[in-house]
Amino acid sequence: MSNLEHVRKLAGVLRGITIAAMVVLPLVIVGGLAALPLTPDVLSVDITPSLDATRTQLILAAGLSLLRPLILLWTLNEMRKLFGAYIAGDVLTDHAARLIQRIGQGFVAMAVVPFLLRPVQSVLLTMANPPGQRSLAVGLDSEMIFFALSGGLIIVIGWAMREASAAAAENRAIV
Amino acid sequence: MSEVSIVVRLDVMLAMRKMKSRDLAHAVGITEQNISLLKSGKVKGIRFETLAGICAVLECQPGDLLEAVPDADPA
Repeated sequence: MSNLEHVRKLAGVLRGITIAAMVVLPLVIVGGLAALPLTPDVLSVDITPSLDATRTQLILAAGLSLLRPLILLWTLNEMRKLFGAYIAGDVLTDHAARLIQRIGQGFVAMAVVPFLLRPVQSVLLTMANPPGQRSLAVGLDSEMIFFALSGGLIIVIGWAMREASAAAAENRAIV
Repeated sequence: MSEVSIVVRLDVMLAMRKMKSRDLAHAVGITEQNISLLKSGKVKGIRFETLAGICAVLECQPGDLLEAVPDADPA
């Protein structure tokens, strides 16, 4: 089996898994939002929210928490497009290389967005506390580092693939 | 140093040998589309293997197929 056949075969499987994840993820999020009452406890933020937090503050904090799954969905969609291109034999092309770079950017965003959101959410959820008991949380966990490094790696691979696609295009112009 | 462009004279050699592009493509083992691209000069290069195959079939030298032509002066 040639390399291209391997790519096509595995891309077909991965495209199916990606589409399934794109269907399941929103269902889980919508189901979770519908099933659970919007209380400070259900917000997945590593701080103790104020018991006096207003509903608007809670909704805003919950809405900000949805940014990460939205980025994940966007990244999954780019992955679906890439696997689709691979299935069609569109491997060493600028289009495929740009899709790889977008996936890398999605991974980086998966690291940066939670890092930026945590302080905002912590302020939102503790704003109702009396002065002196409000907090501003800043945190960096291993998951953020993993996504940032993986994203950076994928972006670099994307640049390398753009070089390869340019070389392949030049090779196609030689008979 | 003046700039030169390489012009492919394959159509001239084909006419001299009274051979069709399709027959040359078949004999050399490349596609008719590539022969057409070569004739029109819409290629960036030619592999030695392809050049050798064409020379063998048309019984000619690479110099009979390729010609260096000075570029027109833009001024």
